[in-house]
Amino acid sequence: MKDTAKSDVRIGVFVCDCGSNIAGYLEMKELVEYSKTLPNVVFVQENLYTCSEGGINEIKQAIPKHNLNRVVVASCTPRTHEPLFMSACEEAGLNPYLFEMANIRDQCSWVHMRERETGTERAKAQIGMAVAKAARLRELKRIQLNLSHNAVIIGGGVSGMSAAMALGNMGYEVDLVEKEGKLGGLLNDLNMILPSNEPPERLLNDLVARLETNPKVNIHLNSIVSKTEGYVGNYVATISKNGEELKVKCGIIIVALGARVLTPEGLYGYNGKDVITHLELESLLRKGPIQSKNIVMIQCVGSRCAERAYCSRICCMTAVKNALLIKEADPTARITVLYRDMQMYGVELEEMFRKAKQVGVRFVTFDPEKAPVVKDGSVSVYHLRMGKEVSIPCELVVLSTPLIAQEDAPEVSTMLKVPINENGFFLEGHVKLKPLDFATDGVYLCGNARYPSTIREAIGQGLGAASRAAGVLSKDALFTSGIVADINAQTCCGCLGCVAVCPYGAINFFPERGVCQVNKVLCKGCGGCAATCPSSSARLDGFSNEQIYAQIEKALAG
Amino acid sequence: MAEEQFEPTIIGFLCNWCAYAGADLAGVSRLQYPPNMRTIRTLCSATVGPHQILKAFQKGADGVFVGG
Amino acid sequence: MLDVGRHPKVNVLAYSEIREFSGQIGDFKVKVLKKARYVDPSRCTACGACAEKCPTKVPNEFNFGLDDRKAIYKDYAQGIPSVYTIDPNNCKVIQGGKCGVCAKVCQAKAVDYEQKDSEVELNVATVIVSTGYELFDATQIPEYGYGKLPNVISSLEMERLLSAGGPTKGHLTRPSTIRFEKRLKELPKLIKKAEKSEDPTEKNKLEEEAKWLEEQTHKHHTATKLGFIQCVGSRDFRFHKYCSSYCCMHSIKEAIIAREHESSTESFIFYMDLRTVGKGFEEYKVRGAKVSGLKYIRGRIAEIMQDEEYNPVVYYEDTEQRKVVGMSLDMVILANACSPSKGISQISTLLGIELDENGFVSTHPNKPLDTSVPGIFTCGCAQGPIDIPESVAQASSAAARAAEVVMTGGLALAV
Repeated sequence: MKDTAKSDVRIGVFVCDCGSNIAGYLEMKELVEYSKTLPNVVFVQENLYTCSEGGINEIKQAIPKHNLNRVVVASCTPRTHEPLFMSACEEAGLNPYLFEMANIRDQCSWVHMRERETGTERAKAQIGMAVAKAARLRELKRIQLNLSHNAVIIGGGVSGMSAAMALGNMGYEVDLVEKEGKLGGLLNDLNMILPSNEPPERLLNDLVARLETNPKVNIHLNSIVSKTEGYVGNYVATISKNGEELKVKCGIIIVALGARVLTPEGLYGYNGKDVITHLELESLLRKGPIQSKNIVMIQCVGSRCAERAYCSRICCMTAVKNALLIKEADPTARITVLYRDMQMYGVELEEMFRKAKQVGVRFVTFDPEKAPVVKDGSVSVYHLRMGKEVSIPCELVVLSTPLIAQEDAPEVSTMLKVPINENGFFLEGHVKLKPLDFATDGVYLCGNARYPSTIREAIGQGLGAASRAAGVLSKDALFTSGIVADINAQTCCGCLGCVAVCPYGAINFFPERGVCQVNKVLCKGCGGCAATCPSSSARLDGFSNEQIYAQIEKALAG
Repeated sequence: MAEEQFEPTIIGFLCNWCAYAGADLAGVSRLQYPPNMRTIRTLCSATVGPHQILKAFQKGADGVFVGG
Repeated sequence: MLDVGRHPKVNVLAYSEIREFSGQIGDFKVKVLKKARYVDPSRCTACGACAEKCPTKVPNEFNFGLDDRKAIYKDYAQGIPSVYTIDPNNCKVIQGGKCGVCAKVCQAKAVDYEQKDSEVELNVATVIVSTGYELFDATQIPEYGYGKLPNVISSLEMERLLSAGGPTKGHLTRPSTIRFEKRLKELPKLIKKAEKSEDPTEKNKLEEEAKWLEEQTHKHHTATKLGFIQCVGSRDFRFHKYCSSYCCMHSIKEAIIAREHESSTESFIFYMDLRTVGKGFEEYKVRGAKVSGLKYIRGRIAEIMQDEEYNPVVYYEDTEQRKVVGMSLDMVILANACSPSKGISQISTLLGIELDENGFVSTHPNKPLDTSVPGIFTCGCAQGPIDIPESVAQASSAAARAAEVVMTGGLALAV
């Protein structure tokens, strides 16, 4: 590899006092004198505050005056100040990637306040390392790309519809793709919605009507997205309907696949007649009041167990809702809910829970180790409060089963190169900070495809995903970062090691040429590929092996 | 004669988004630690490959710290 | 937070309050009071030299008084904007006294004792109310002894104790020990004083005290047997009848982290229902029991007492064992309820938005981000208790609603 630390490299070093924050604890004179001795350094300046307007101006003046082609600032942390100094270089006509920082405050003077001598030694080493790296920096460019301002949404349930409505209202063209013959998803199967206390049709019809009249929203029923190509800003999605294919360009894709209810085959004598699920109960309730007087509901059927460890979030509230509706129609009905923890979180749900207790719904906890047993005409359970087995007579048993992932979730996951978790729910970019994003730019997530959610939450997440998507769609152009990976096609052997480690799906393999290539738009510059590549063909610009080796050597030279 | 105290040189590879930020926070909080580390900022601890770690040892590092 | 502070399109008005509000969707006029910081933010580099030299110590609110800050301070290290502020109630100069140390040491010349409050007028199309919540004040529950028993603390105090940047650098020192150590530092002076004034009884008493404190700090330095009490102020008709949503998981997290700090830690979580409704939460709870030795006990604590060594003793009915139990612990952590923020009633009056019976911003289940005033949206704990992922998701949702207004001039307020 060619040594880029050529003799025509001219480095300017700016050493910041940060008032007394650095100057109070380190020997500044020594740092300045030491910097002057470093190879390729032609100019050294000490500033009271390099980040002040005066300091920035000194950098901007020194670049042309001393014909500098690299700049090093020894001051605070690049995490806050690198952008400022980079733009100062750019304004003075220097490629901003020919800039490097040495952190001699946050990681030196502030943590070695009582070790003036050895602290100064460390600062010298950090400056030396920055200079060694700077000598090997190369000009990098941010690439500008045009983008499509359209959106494709996979799934026409309440969250997908909400996302479509929001994006349509913002003025973006939306293709909403629903595999069934009508919009609405699970909403179609419900009886009533609480706490708003309204039939689901009201919300559904309102949403559908407004989507149908929104000129920006194209609804595709009985359709699936069968193929996607491209990347953020420039996707082409293939929408298939009865064998016919339509290709649409789009800038982003929202995953709103929804979920389905588990059918509890083999659990608690489920038979769909007198042992049914809540979804089945709701379809009975839609037809009119039910005849059963004695009803037992059992929670956590097929969830919070070895096979499915998660809590499905919405089943407790569904049970309480249905219990309330039955009690309202027939106050003499006797309902017992067998539960482990009533997950009635928040304001509205706890209020519903309280009401249910008020109207006489009985709640009995059970230990999963001593699970209830459904017999003909009764349910027996070990009553923890009484410390004995009790038998509850009933004509109807209703099982609370969890929402489970859609059957086609794995296919969509593979198609979009976004992950799913062990339960088949899509895995967001960060559980706390990026709940609606994927690690891959340009693909977003909402509703039950992420995790079971209430209607309120599904609407919110649909809007949220739309907002995240609008962050891309509203841009006039996309810019790549300068710090991205590159793979040398000459030496790449096509082992796919990099493809396997890239968390952003940014590396494509071209079988016809037998090489891998980085999509610089998707690359986040983590360098995982460079560390993995056995032939050193993958390189992270700005953090290359050569640069890091130079830093290591300098650190250990003295 | 007192034995000269051994002072190791440690090369620290710190991920910009977590460990490097943590090292900055140590500074902001004025937490004191011995000045034996030489930090190299990386954009992710995934950048740190075996070659770099071996290089550090080869060049005489007494320890390598990878924080990410 | 750093991203918000650096975003070219985001103008952060911290240390500010809304004073006047008028107009309608697409055209709101907002008068904002920017409180005087007595520091010029354009000059301050947040180097902290001022706070280092400032002679005035004040209990640090951010760490709930577990340590001190100075009269010129930053709320916490990573705060945005990164600017120091003089607390006018405690600054000697602003109180008319003599000092001026901070102005002297500030090389950026940022300190300005004459700075006045200022007003900013904004004209905006839409407003988002995200004023958060207030920690429920547990002194309202006398039987739990919060505020009286030193080793009964709030969930957020626990958070500060566990934080590497907190008053104990992440070590779980018992609050009584923190007090004892402070007292131990004072005692030698007092003993000398007693010696001088030839008061042997007093001297004896102080020496005895020092001996006892020494023993105690040694014996009970680190809290390793912890009790977490759920639903403190929530699901309680005397205070908040609602469930605060996030506390079950918060307690489990704190217990797991405490165990990571000190492997001999034993934690008991006293609950009514353990509400592990989020993604991965149930799995986390199960792992807490398996890996971190958490014990979940279904039972509401009736009362907390204290023994002579300041150990809190909790009394409860174990509803699964059907008996009343007393248990001695090193420290008790209360899962304080999520109360509506104190300023919300004033903001709701200014903005004309409706609050629900609990004091949270009112929303409809089908329009979860919309307040009663078109063009004003809400998210996070301002609209009710909610955990971090849901809150982050909601923030994006509110931004979408706001974007609809901005991009269409308020015409298409659908969904």
